[in-house]
Amino acid sequence: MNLSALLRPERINLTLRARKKVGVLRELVSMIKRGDEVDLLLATLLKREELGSTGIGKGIAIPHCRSLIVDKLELAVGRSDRGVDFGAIDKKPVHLFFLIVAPPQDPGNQYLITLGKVALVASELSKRQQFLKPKTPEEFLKLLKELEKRVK
Amino acid sequence: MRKQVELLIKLHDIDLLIRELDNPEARKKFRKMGFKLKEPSIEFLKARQQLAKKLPPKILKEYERIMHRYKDRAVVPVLNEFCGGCYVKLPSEFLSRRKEEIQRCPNCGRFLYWLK
Repeated sequence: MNLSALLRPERINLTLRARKKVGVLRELVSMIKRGDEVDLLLATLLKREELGSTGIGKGIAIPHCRSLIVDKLELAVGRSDRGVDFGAIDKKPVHLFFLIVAPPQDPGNQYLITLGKVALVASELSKRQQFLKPKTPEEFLKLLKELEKRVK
Repeated sequence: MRKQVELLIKLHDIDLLIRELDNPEARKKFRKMGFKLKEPSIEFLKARQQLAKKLPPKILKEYERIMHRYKDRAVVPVLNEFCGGCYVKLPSEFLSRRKEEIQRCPNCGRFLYWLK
């Protein structure tokens, strides 16, 4: 499945406010869940971060986990123009976040396939910091669609 | 969400994480994508144990038993009145008791929760 088809404009926040890891994850999770389920998902994502930061360098992080809290693959995107210390591999601030959450079992292991796609597209987006250009979620989706075609 | 169900979900999510990272195939894929993975630290595993201890021993024992038996999920969502584990239709009187603390599928024994 295409990432641009999986992502909706209301799942893209180009003005993340948080300046710390926990806050950013909370803002991202809040796009896909409400109430006490936010804390449950946040707890799992933080556990995943303990096993190695999902900040893969060049300003990109892809927080991810499987969780009972979702019944289908969920994707959300956040951008912080200021950048956040996410403990990334290259120790640089992270500007663009892709949150991926999957149920414990998903048909055809879409979780790993989607993660792989996001990693590829994110690498394209990091070139010349293209991810800073879109001004609206719709523009971001358009750029994502173009890059997806390029990396196919 | 009820406290014990929340604890079960947290525990299950951590166990999923550990299991996935224990899988050499999955680890290889994660590394290829650019993620650097560490082995779970003693603190990480201790935190898991502490979480588990918050559950009544009887429930924890059952959780471990079902996890071992089914190898995948011990806690499953209710999907349109069906158990999300064995897909058997749940009895209607059972569904009306959904607010009780912990529910189990009468067929497969998995713990149940209702997604919002």
